[in-house]
Amino acid sequence: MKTLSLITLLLALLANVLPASEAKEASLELLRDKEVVDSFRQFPVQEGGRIKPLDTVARFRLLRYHGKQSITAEIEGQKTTLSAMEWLLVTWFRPDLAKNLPVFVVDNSDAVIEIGVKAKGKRDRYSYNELLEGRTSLMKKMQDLRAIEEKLRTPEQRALGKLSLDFLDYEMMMSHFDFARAPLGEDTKNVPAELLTPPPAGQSRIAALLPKMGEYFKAHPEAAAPMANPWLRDFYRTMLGAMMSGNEEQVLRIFPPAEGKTEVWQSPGHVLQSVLETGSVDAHALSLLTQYEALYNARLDAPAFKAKLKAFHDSVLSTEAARHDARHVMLEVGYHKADYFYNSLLYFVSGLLVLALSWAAPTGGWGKWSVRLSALLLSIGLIYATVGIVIRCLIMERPPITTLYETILFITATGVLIGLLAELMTRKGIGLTVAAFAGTAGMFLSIRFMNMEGTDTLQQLQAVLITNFWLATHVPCINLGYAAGMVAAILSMLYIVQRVIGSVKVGDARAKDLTRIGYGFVMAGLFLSLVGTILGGIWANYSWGRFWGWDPKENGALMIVLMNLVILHARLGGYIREVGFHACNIVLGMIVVFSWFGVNQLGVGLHAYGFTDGVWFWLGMFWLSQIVLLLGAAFVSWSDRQSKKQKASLRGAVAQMN
Amino acid sequence: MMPPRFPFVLAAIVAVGLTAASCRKLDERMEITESREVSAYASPTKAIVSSADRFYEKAAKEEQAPEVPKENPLNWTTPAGWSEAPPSSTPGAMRLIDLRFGEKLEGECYLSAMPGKAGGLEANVNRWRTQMGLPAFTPEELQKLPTKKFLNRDSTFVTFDGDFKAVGAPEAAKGYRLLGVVQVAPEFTLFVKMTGPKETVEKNVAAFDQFCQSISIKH
Amino acid sequence: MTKQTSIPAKLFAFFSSFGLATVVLTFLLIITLLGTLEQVEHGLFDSTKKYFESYVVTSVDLGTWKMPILLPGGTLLMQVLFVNMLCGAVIRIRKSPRTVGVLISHLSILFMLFAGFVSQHYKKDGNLALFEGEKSDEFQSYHESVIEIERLQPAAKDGKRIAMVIDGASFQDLSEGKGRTFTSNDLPFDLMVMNYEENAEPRRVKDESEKKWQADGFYLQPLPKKPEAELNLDAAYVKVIDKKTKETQLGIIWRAEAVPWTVKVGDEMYAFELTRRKWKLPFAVRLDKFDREVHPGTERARKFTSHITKFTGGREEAKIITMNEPLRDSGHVLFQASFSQDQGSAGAPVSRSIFAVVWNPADQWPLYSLLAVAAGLLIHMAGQLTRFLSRSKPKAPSLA
Repeated sequence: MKTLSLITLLLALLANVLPASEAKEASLELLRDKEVVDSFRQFPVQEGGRIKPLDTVARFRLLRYHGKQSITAEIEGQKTTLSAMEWLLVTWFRPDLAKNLPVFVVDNSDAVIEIGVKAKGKRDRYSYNELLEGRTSLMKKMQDLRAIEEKLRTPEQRALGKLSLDFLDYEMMMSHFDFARAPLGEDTKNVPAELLTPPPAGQSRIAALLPKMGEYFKAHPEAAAPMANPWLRDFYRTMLGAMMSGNEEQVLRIFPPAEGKTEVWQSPGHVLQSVLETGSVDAHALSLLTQYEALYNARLDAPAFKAKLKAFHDSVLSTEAARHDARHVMLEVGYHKADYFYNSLLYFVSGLLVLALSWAAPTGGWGKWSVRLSALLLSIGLIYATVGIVIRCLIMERPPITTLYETILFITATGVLIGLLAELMTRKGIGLTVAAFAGTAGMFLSIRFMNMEGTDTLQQLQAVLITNFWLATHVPCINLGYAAGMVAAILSMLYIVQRVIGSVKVGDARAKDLTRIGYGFVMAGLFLSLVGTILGGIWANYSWGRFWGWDPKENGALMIVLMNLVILHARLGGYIREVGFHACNIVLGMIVVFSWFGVNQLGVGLHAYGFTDGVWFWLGMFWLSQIVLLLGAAFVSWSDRQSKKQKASLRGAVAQMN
Repeated sequence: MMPPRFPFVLAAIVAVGLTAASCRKLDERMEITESREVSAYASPTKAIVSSADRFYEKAAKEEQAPEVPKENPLNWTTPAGWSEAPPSSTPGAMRLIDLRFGEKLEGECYLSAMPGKAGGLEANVNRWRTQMGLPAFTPEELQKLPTKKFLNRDSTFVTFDGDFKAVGAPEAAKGYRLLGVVQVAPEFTLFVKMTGPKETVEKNVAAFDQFCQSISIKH
Repeated sequence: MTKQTSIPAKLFAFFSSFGLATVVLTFLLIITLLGTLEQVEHGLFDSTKKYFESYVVTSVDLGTWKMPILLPGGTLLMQVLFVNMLCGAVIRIRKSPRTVGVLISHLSILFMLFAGFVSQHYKKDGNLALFEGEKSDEFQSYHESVIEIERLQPAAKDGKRIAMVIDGASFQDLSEGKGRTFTSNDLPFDLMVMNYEENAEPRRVKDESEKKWQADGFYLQPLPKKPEAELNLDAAYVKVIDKKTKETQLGIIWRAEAVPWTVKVGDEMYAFELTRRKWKLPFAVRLDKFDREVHPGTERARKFTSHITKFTGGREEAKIITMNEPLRDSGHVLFQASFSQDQGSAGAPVSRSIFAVVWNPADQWPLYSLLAVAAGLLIHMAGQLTRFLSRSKPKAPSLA
């Protein structure tokens, strides 16, 4: 947010004068027409440094504002659910409807009360029009917030800051086509006459206007002060709408550059901006803008609209054909449509439920069949997750793990996989239980995490990380180490819970199995995290000349290695037995979660790739639950000793009697 | 369980380590034994330089720039509630635009220009820091400063809180805030500097941005 | 365990025990956790020194939670661990096909600890920053401060410039009120270094009556230490005492100063500088061009590339240094670390490329160790897995 933020802020300070356009707008049927929606979905857009489908942009915008990737509301008297793409089209072509959609999710009603808007529920959704009366106050709050450093803001302040930015972005989205509606504003009485001469019949207004504006500013440089010049201010607003964001990294770049020139795409707004900055317009960009305008102008005539849409889409694709940056757009549209991870969650949950049924009647045909069914469901879930991960790799052309979100997907999938493999080897239902829990919890977490972040999960990498060799060795190794540690911890959670409720006794077959399999995972976890950690050091030495730097993420990995070593040596030395071993595994799980999520939240070090609001809360809940389990383990250990004593005294008594 | 002698032995080892670490004696005199050959590419050392220059004090005299152009080369919009300072109020300073704001017009915001690079970004930002009673920035910190578009070029933007001591003022004014934009360009260096009591400045942040944005060069 | 009687045997039993391993590893785990958490407030450099490069840790200092404590430090723990592994897993271990994997992996971890020791004591690492067109053959340490004394006039006849170097360890303990005199037979004066400050700034003395030490109208104002060690600017007062006349001159040396402090002693001119330790490279490097690529439409870096020319004796070679592709030559490695942009003398922006430079005799040792440790663990785990599977093959249900 560099260049544009100033203008954005200035515009924000002015009272909102979105054109209450009299012009006829497109029909809702046209905007929800399958052919139209699909075609828009596949529009290539450059955002966050990569080419993605417009569908992705729409989905994550709606997710950020609304907390979901679809929106349900009463539109024209009917309860309707709009997909993200449909919603985006409604904001572009039907601002009148868009203003009444309950777009903005407010987690804490205090935020809306603070800006003088009547609150609904504690957590509720508000439409643009509902928030409008608080606009001035919201913008003032935003200004105040600018003085506070990002890190020092309270969660409430961050929420208010987000709401104000979302609100402004939404205003821009609704005026996206203003450049075609009224580029110089509705009120044209102050506009110089030479800019208002209409274009020859049948020709584009914007294509005629922009060169004229360039001429005009050359002749009247003093007019180029937007704050002193109302029609220019309106033109600025039009320009921002055509950009669709005040944040330079989030503007809607849909115009590919002419062949071979540059990698940077332009937004419709950039074409308008170039007139103000250089006084001239690039012919290639102007021709795309003209087609884009023609698309809007055809909105009342469905067949013509479809034809223009196809024509525009084709010329975008033919322009970018040489570089072929948009080659994975269709794949990505399909990826979002298939919703692999949500589907895998459904299968994991049903696998868990069916498995739980088998516990009710473990023996007999029913139990046997429900175990088989559960294994099948879990395998299908695993296939969904794996396919999803593989498609992500194909889209980005890189190994599977590059962000925290991707670690969740990977660890969940591998957790399920090793659970199933362990089941295949041991056939005792333990591996299956682990797989079901790991899959359910992991996929739930991944969806929750994506919603919390509210940004596209396919991200470009920082320079040093762009190296497929290390991304394909060190990173998976470390994450497999996390997975093994988590699986060992889940096994021990099972052990302790079953001991506390008494369904497993010390030293019985199931307890021994849990211990033995858990031990295997501790060994595997040691191997993977040790090798992964050293590999990380070798990478660092290879790329920066330092093997070890006590960076938080490195330390986190080391702590996992150390805990694995402590467990193994304590066991070999006989200091821990069954209960002690499982209690140690619980600690191991706590450490894994610390170095997986916790260290990123510390905000220091090389690997600090993202602080997310609310993560500490969930981490705290997890650790608390584990402490409860540790108390459970302490209780079990105490009662074991009691019963031993009892047995001993009983034996003593029996001996005396004899 | 664990044999009980472990903790004691460990403590003993710790103690031995402690004594070993602390037994280096402080010599009052010491022979210099080490030397190195200076690289042939290293720049030669300048001899006899005043401390004022060694510690960047000289560069702090931007306001005493010569030659005031006859006609103001700039266009700008004075923000609502602000007013222009009377011409005589800042003798000698080359202020192309000189404005006052706040209830008692206690806030000051002006644009000044210096020919050439005027000592560069570092000297100028650090001069401001000195005026606010703050330590100088290192090159790394300077590197991290945000930028704003000002007159179509990226310019460094700073905000400092501190006690402001204006050039020639007898003592520092407490609780001040300074907003500044520096644009180092080959022909001339431009400064927009806003100072005033923290609260007053806070109220006028948007006006400052608006003022900066409104400035353009006459053709 | 059989009962040991003699003291050496007892000691050996102690140092080779699983108990010691467990205790040491647990302590390592605890200090790693604390050393990580403390970085948030105190920075990487200080936390590393306090927890990992120490024999004892005497306090924990997390936000508002400060308390005295006695914990073994990282250096001590790793030394004990080394001995423990050597005694337990190498000497005492029962040598059989079953333990081959364990033996190999412990030996390789021993080797890795040894590599760490060698690195810590012999490695030179620092940086080299070059503007486009600039040439250099030395690099400077990140953290190590030294005082350098150079005779400027008369210059040496052979044109070679020699600087005398005072190591940081011999003046960094001189906090306020302490001083030490440095002498050399080659110098016509003694140099007294006083009041060393880790972070300070020279300020002009405003009130002459103030009883502050002052040199040429300036005094040193100590500043609070910053958590990022590299942002601290150290400084000290220095006094030059003419050996013949006993005349003294007081000066301030400060790491950010524009020019070193220079002093005339008799007919000779000397420069004094508080600076980072510098090392010479066996070759010279000139930065020809620096490129920074970003992901299109963003400010996110995609690639930094330095085009350089390397001069070895009379030979010139064009080379490229980029992310993950360093330049390796005669034991020295130059990495692309970062860059800065500055105003050049002509006014146009000039890029400066910053290289990390490392010389490390143990450079590749961790890799060898990794290969060995992985092999060892794999052998061990394969053995265990076969035994586990053969045991859990379907058979009659065991009775508890």
